[in-house]
Amino acid sequence: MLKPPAQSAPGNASRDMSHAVMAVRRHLAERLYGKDQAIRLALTCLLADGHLLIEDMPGVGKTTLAHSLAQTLGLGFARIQFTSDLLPSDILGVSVFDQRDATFHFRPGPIFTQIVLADEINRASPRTQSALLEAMAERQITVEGITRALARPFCVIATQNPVDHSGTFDLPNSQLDRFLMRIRLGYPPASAERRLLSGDHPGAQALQPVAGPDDLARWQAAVATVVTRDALVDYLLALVARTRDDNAFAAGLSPRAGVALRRAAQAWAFIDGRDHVVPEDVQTVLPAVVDHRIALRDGAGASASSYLLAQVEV
Amino acid sequence: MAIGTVVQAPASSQVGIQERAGLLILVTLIALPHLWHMPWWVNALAALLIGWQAFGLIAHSPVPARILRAGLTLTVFAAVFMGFGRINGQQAGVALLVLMLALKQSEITGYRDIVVVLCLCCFVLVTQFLFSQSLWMAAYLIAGSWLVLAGFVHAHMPYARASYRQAAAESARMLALALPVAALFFLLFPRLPGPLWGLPAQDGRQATMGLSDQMSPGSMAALARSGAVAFRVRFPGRVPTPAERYWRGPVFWDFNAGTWHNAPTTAKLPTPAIDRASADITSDITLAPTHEHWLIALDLPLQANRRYHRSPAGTLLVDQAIDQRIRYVVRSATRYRLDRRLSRVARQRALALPGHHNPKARALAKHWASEGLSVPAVINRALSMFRTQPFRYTLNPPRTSRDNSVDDFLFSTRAGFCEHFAGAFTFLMRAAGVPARVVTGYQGAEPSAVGNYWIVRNSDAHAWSEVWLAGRGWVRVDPTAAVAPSRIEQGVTGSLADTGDLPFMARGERSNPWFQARLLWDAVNAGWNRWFLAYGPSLQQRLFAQLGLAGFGTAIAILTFGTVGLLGLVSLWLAWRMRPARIDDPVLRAWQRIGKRLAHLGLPRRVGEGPGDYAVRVAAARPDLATAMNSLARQFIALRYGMSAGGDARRLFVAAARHFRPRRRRTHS
Repeated sequence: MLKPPAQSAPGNASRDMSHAVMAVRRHLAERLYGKDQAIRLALTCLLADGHLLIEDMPGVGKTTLAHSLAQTLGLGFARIQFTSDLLPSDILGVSVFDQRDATFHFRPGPIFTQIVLADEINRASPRTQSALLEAMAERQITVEGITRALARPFCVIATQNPVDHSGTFDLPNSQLDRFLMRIRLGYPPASAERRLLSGDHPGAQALQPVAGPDDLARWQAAVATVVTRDALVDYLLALVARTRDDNAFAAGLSPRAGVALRRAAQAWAFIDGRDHVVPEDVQTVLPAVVDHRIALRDGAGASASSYLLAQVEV
Repeated sequence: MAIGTVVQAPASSQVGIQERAGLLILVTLIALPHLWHMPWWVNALAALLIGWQAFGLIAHSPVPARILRAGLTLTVFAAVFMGFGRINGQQAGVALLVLMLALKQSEITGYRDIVVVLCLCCFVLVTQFLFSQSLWMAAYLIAGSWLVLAGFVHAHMPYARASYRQAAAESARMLALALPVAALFFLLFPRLPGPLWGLPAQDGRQATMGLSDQMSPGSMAALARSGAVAFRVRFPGRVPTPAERYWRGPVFWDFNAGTWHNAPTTAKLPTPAIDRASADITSDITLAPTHEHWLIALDLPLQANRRYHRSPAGTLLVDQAIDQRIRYVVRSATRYRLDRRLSRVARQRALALPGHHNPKARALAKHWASEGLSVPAVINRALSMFRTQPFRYTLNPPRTSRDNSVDDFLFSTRAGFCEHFAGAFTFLMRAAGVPARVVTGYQGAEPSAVGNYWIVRNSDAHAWSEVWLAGRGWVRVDPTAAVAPSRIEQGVTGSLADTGDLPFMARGERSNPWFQARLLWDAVNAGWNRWFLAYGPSLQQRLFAQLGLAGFGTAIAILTFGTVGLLGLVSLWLAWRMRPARIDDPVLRAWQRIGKRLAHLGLPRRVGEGPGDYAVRVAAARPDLATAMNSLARQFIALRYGMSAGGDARRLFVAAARHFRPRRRRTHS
């Protein structure tokens, strides 16, 4: 990504925030070598208050990324390994009858935390998947008629393996739409892998938090205030409209996707230390936001986002 | 092609391999019928070029080098010029067009090339009509226009990845909407007499089967082997009886070395005098192109509804060779007196038998004359000789010598087709001192399956004689009838022993379903010729009269022209409406001006490229412009996307943009 020339002086508060975010990024980069872009996108997703889907081969650092994010930001973390016999109550929690006071007590499930790592989400049955996805959308759960709010900030980081599809239930498009972004990590560059193999990796030891949940909440609020001028909204509209009008796409982007695109671009601009969004912000987050939602009709080679980038006039 | 100018080009300028392959197939299909009209080497060259392109597509080879393309272009020009001796004209021009179209495929890189190829395809489509106007061709060309239109639609679809099926459906819809309008214009638009453009005199004329300007043994038999339709005829009034169905064609006066022809002579024959004739049969004839001057007509034609003059032997002639199907109405008389007085010149020519060949025939005729027989008696003598001696009527007569063809036929082979009988009979008459001449034409007519018209085929070609009798003038004598009377009553099929040599359609197997189908198809074709190809000013007048619009010809013309003008104005208005929207924002205008100036230096802004990315790219390519460009981009981004929107900043930016005039000079490579 070519950075647009730095511009307008942000206020002191926002400069502090941007420095703090930079610190988070540096911290994470110490744990995940050569994954700056993925780290930044994951952070963008978190700042945009969205959920993240990581799709990649086993062992490239999906779990490490999720775990490191939680540790660095001092967030609560729970990991759920999805299997085909996982039940909704294994995620949401269950009421247990206590004989002492002869009443049911709710035992909260692992979802009652701030960052939930849903590992191999596509291995669970659709029923279990939908329980999680409902929680993601509503940010609250209802068990036995009682609605319970989830923690804030709340972020689900789901992973899935793009190759091994035996015994999995693919997420339907309607549920993929609930993930703000889908990213791929990819194999690390040779230099990063050399560092990894030469054994100077810190390993599994916990990262020290450099920010807290309150900081994250403040940043999320600040992201929402990043300016999108009419010219930029026009560009967003053109992108979304194109997916609906162009015959190359089987289906268009949903309005939710449009909102997600704007939010992600705002977060990206925020991390860049700007108080306004430029088209390049949109273009950078476009693949992560769009490609899991829609595809080209003859998907040979080109992705939906690369097509849109090449076709839609800024 | 108005479409090309109205609709904006799709943003992507890349032409995919799929599009190029589609275009190649389209071009091949459009040019395919020319295969039958072009010399073999043009076809071979076109096939080579198209095959080369196809191979290039499969092998993903890049656009060939400019020098190669230029060389190929020159080669094609040279080949056409050497092959035809010219590069314009019907055949050479079309050959050049087709070859260039095939060549153009190799350099298709952008949308503009596609439009050029499609426009050329339209032109090639039209040129097909120069060679054939059959119903098949019309159907093929409608399908072709549909495909070309689909190509246009596809090229102009708003986005590059339009589907072919959608384009085909869209163009079918457009065509379906346009056809009624086209039909209306076809009917109402003032028809011009004759074709719109003069057809070049058939520089690639194929030998058409038909009557020729001379007759020698075997020439009629050759013609009789063709089942092609010579003409179709309707009889609005009385239908002539089989014995009356003699269609007059060229008449030959001179005999030389076995061949009957008309020698160029200085002594002018007088125009024929016709009396005691009353037109009793009207025939409405649609004649296939003959490339000759005579109007075939029922014997004896009195008048026709087009400009004609009359040959000294009574055949109707037109000034221009009949290179196109024509339709005319002739009124004929079956009873007439032709040339009751024979001029001295005519008598001389009708008696001339130069040379001393065919001595036996001469001797025989002299013998008849010396017996003191009357002229009718001499005629009967000759006919009875054909009737009583073992003469055979056959499509495959044995060969005769050139000089003594009459002797060979009369005294040794005794087998022949109509030209042998007519030629020998005429020879005998002249030798006996009776003025005689050979008439060629057609004899017979076969009713069509539907449509109430009659078909006369090449296989009905016939030759007979006319002898001049004092007091009666020229009288038709058909010696073939003496040998094979059924030839006249039942046509050539019933009279020949060796029917198998006749073409299928001339055999008249009416019970054969295939024959019936062919006849039905002929009826469709006849309708096509009659109503479409022959639709000219007179037919249009008749249509208007039938619609009760006889007096409104001018009004209709004005209305039609007015509608065309109106449609033109509507398209102009549409084009004006679809022009790119004017940009109101001076900041954006200034930014786009910067992009335009940089485009002149080979650094155009790409589709979907944000201002920041553009500035970075320009700065990388032209470090000398980096400072200015970065500053401009920074200002533009702040003004367009940032929060500052001050009037001063806007003015400053617009002014800075105006002063940004990058030079072509490159400081660094």
